[in-house]
Amino acid sequence: MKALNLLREAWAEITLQPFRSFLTALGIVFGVGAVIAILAISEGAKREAVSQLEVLGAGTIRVRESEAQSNSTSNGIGTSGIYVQQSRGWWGFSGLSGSMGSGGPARPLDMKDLEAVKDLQGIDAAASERTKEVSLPGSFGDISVTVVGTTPDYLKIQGLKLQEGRFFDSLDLESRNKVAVIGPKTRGLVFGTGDAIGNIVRIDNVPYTIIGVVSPKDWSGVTLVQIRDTGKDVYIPVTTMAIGTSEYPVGLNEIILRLKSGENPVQWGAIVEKIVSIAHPAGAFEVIVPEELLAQQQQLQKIFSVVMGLIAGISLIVGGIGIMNISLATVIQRTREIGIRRALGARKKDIQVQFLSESFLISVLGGAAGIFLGYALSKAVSSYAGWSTAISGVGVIVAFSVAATVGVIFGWWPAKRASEMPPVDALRHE
Amino acid sequence: MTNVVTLDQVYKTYDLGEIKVPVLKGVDLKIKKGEWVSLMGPSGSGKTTLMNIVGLLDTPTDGNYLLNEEMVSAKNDDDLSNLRNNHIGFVFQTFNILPQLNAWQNVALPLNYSVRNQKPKKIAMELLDKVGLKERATHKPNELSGGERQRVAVARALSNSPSLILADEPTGNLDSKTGKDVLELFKQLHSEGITILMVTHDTQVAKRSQRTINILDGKIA
Ligand SMILES: Nc1ncnc2c1ncn2[C@@H]1O[C@H](COP(=O)(O)OP(=O)(O)OP(=O)(O)O)[C@@H](O)[C@H]1O
Ligand SMILES: [Mg+2]
Repeated sequence: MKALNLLREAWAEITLQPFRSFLTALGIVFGVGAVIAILAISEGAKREAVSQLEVLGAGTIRVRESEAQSNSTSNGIGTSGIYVQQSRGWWGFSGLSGSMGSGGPARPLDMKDLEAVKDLQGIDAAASERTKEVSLPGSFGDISVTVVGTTPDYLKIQGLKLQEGRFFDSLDLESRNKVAVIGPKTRGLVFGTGDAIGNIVRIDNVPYTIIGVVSPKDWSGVTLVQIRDTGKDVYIPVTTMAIGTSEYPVGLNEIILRLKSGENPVQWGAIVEKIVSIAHPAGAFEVIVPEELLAQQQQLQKIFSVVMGLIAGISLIVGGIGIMNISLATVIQRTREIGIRRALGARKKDIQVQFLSESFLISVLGGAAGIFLGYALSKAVSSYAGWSTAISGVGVIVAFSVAATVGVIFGWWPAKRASEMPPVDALRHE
Repeated sequence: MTNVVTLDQVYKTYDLGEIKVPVLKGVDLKIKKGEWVSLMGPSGSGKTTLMNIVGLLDTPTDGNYLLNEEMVSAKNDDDLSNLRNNHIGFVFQTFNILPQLNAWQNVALPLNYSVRNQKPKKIAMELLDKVGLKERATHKPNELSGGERQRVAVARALSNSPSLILADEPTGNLDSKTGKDVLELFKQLHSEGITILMVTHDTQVAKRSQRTINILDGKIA
């Protein structure tokens, strides 16, 4: 009741000069805004890390042709999504030059590399990925799909599930069987609602029997590593895919490894890199460990947070000094009032609490405005830098307490001064 | 009859570092309960200084002061504040009501600092009625005339039902007509048994009180 009265009086006092009060609170507004933004960004980063790992699969290592390498090939369109065709030209070439050793140009990855790393002690499963864009005749015209030559563990490693049929096994791989497992979109586009299993798809004029259909998987959360939409994939044994080429060993675009649980991905990533580089002294491949990428991204966000934290701290201190400055001026301006209140029976404590509640209220209102500013700021950051942000209840409470604390700390001394004024002198003040 | 105010050889010297300004040089004064006393004296003679000491806003350099037969010399700041709140009502020459509060809020202000549980608005409205300003309750001071402001100040001085009203030239800033109205108010308070100590320069005003004391050369003449 008493506190409510104090706040009501403080509110009346603050709204007497709204613009001045607004200027007083401005530092707090920016400070709290920065605090909110930091918390929103780091909270967002935390959530993103969790969801990215979920989608990418924690504990996987990807070895893929490096982007720099594919850029150096024929027509220079080298983003990871469409590096397939260019690379094919490479394989033929490297098949010849591979034996030239370290003196020669870089070779692409091949099945031998997969063999070299798949039985490492920390590796649970391994799969290859050799991709090629082809078009299939669909019910509404030709559709372009990605044919993925791979190995039986692919499904498990990518975290994919089957909605129909089966995936190919090691027998299919060894026998170079012409079997295919298709993505849900391809299934829809080619077969509509009819049966898919047992039907034939023609890839480069070779007929493949469909033995399974994969369930849809949402990759949209993944921003760290480029991953194509798997909905239109067609999976075939990598050995079958190499039929008709003179390649030996069979060339690959990517090797995907899954670690045994509890193994350190970063450590194993380094080991895999070392092993692969024995056969590829000229480099031309990169090892991607999602955890490592996340750590790098988080490092960046940490730096950002530190910078923002400094800004927040400075703003809050400057804001606090602003409050102290205005409060001191107010106390002088209202000396007479202090004298009157003292004459009417106000104790020193009453005067102090009165002025303190004014600076407290100004700060808290500034803090509230700062929360909105911080919200806008974090939205701006997330759309500009592409980081996801999340305003948490805890963040709002923290920011609010920070604002209130600043108000009380910096309002303390002026309020104390007001209360220490001798009543007679205060009353005499013109 | 008990004495509301008892001053015994009260001295007040302002210490300005190099020079000391003796203002009160042994004041003896007794004011009985229900008395209306006028305090006169030339400008600078120490009237306000004496009022401040009686009003517990200032402390004497030497001498004893008993308020309602109770020594106040040894009291701490909080006790003095509470005594002011409970026992003393001030009326100033320059009204000294707070511009940001309306009439009834000004009247209720002392109740904010009282430990007694009261209904501030109700009390304030009754007092405003008493001073004839019931219709002005929600007016801000800048919407009131000088006489009305002073009547608000009188109502405020009464809000904690004090045992002593201290009025330092309450009509000094008012024209004779409105001054008379305010004096009528004091007369009424006196008739209700309230003790009043009032500073004035006007012998006509002083005549209305029961007793007039003069301060001269730091002493009560
Ligand atoms: N804080 C102070 N410091 C120094 N001298 C003071 C102080 N307050 C008052 N005085 C001096 O004390 C003397 C008495 O002042 P006071 O205000 O009591 O006079 P007064 O009788 O009320 O005069 P007036 O009729 O003009 O109001 C004056 O000479 C004044 O200059
Ligand atoms: Mg005076």
